[in-house]
Amino acid sequence: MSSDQTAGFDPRLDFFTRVLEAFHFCHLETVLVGNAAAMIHGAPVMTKDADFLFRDAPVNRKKLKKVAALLGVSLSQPFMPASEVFRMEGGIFDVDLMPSLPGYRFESVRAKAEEIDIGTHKIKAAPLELIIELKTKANRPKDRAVLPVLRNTLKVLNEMRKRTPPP
Amino acid sequence: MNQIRRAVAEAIERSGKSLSQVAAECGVDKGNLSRFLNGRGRSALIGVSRLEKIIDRLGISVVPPKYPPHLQWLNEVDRWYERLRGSVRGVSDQDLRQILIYVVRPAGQRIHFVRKVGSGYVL
Repeated sequence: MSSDQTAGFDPRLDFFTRVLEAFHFCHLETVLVGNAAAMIHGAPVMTKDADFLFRDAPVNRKKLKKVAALLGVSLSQPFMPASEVFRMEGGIFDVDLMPSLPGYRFESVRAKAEEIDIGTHKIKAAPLELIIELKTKANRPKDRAVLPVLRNTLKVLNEMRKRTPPP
Repeated sequence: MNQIRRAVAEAIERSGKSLSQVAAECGVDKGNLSRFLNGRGRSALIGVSRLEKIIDRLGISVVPPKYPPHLQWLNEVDRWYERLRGSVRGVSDQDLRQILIYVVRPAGQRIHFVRKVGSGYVL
């Protein structure tokens, strides 16, 4: 337990829950992607921020501002013009919201997303196969570092699915 | 207590003896033993020393659970590890165990965000 956890309270998990609540309250549909999504699937990885995909539309950009206000964080696009990512800063960790992923629009990722129940909320998360595909394409040093454990996790999950009888 | 009731009931059935026989052999009132097994009635409990006699007489082995209640999901990790060990190509036993511990744990416990401290990261 880290020094700022007392009696089982995890400020980072609490903030993550508040982010999901803010999305829900503002009716902003998102899909969790990146390492955070890999984590939810059970890959033994950690991350310092949470990445979400959202459907880019003027109404949703307004909702982003509302979400940021609810969370008490700042909202900006710090990487323009190279990237349209919206970043929420000032919370326990940064939250990145992207309007698309290389080669994938929101709708196609949402169609493949898996809904995972984390107890307090149900999250739509990009499938592990897609996360691996995107990291392989991105080919950054930090992606290459995590790919072996993601691939092994997928192998184990597939083997478990083969051996689990359908409900 | 229900687990003990079940274990005693199963052991009596396996022994092929009647409830009366077991009660007599263990020096326990048959009605008391019956109420204990049903978990109902005014005297559905049994003294510890009598319970100990029943357990010894029937050869029941009392094994404490391997994991504390909040870590019972580790039993499923053990089961999957035994099933998959050596059969997931390219995944060592050590990596398999580590992955299973993350995959099998409740989804709400898989979330670990780190924070930057100096030049490193901490949980």
